Amino acid sequence: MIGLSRPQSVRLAAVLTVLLTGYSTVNAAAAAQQSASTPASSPVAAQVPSAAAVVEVAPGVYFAQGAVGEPDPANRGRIGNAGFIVGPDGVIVVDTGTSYQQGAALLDAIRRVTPLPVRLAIITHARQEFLFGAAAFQQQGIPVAMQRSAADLMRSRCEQCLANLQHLLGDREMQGSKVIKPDIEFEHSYTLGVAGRTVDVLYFGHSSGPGAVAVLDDMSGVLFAGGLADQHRVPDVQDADLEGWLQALQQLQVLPIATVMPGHGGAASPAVLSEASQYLSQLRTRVLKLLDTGAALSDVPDAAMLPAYAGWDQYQTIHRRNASVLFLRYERGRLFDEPLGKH
Amino acid sequence: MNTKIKRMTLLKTTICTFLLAGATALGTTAHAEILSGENPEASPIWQKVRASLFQGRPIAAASDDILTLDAPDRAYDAAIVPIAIKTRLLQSGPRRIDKVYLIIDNNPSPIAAEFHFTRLSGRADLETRVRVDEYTHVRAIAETDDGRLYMATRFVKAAGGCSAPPGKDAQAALATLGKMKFRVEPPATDGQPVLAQLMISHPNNSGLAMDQSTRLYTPSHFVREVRVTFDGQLVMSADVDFSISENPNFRFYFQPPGDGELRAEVVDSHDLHFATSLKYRSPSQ
Repeated sequence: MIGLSRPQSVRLAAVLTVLLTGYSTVNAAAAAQQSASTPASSPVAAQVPSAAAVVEVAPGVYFAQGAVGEPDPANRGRIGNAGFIVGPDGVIVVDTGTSYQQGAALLDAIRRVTPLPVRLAIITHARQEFLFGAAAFQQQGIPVAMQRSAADLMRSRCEQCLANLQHLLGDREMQGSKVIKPDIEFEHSYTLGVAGRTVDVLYFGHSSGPGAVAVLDDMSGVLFAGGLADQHRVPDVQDADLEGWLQALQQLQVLPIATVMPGHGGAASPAVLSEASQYLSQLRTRVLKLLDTGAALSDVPDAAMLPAYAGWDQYQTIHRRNASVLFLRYERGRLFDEPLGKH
Repeated sequence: MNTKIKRMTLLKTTICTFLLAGATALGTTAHAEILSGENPEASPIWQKVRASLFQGRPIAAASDDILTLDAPDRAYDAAIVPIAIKTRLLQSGPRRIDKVYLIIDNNPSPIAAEFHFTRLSGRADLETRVRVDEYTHVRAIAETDDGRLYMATRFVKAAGGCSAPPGKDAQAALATLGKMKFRVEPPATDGQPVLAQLMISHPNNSGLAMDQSTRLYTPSHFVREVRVTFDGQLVMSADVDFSISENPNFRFYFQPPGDGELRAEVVDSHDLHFATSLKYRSPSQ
């Protein structure tokens, strides 16, 4: 496994076991009450409005797909994907949704699937639609884990994101949401065994964002890509180290991955990883060319159009912004004689 | 030069005080207009700025054959909003543009820049990047050498630019403080004005941005004046303030009479002086 240190993962697993023992009984009891009637192997639709709609994409691996577009009152801001992995000993959750309510809806969905305790919720990266739901998990005593740099980024900016979301979606929708304090902040890739199923948390350094991780379920080969790949949606370079991101995607492509659950968009084949690489490479080539020809910043969004991606979600917004963001970054890099990857 | 800067500062301080008083008295109608961008003439801040800078002088709406102003309707990054001022009068012609004012009504200091152009400017165009703190009217007002005023207005939806944290950490920014780079684009046809870009490494701290880790405000420190000369003759000068984005960037033209030295001198609010120059060779020689 990439950069995986076994002694470390063992130590971490031990820490987790200590952390988790206290919570499992409570969860199991609560879950058992609700989930007895739901067969574990079929797609689970929202049977009451509060439970998130989830699909079983591989045995024991569930996916909750977010809405297309930007956050607005109609989609309740729920534009990020989430999912969970059910093992013989418990459940691991990947991403928590945009609000306390969405987090609670995910928990409801889990309880419809299994009475097993939720061992851990991992937040893959510090963007609003993946993290404010964590409050609902912590309230149930479920520990929340993030890579340290992602946690740092969350601390530095997410109070503001929360205020913006409260303004956009209303206090009622965002009720109970808060910038959580992660229970676990890890540094490196590691393997989780707490659910009785091998799940790898993969960290490649600064890629799509500081502290962005992907989560791979070994048995099914399902990869939760988090911020590292979207399906049919323009990747956002604002938080990214582009070179680091391209390298991470390259490393992911050699892993035994059967299916990718992207951060946004639907379940996809592993080709979604190379598609993301291609987009990022083409964007970089185009922006560097604009810089070479002395383009003005005001002309950059129009001049950077890549029609091959015109059908992707957020092409008119994120793509245009991406071009300006990279242009400024490279321009500054040249002013300070920095290599491409640094910013 | 310093006296002039002090005068500008004083003028701006006075205006700011007026504005704050005016802003609290804003009625709901005026507030709605600010949010929607309707009726730019009614902007109370503009009324104050106008009285201070131009007294009762008439200001014509600029037709496209005199002056245009480009700015995004909705900015991607409120801390770096590109602004392009394009003029159509030739600086070598019988009537030329003497000054262009850039006003951002709802910024803490609305007079973002005052550019001075000469015959050597060739064309009084200017492109730069600004911070936008609230939804605002942005105005370019050109003053011709015969004393007439023309205004082009755009409404920009962006917020938080003046209080956005800088893109680089303070230590790194300090290490390259004042480093400058010229880029010159020879014209397609010889004898046409030459496009130049001046990039300045400077945090241009507004004093309004909080450092998220220390929870302290970063003290203001920004570029005050830019003077560009060609063989000692003034091409363009700019009195600017913290409405200009981090790492100030100016694109402008110059009309070289032949080979010579293009030089930029910059003074910041700590009275630090920076300079850079470039040997320009006309492409036909």
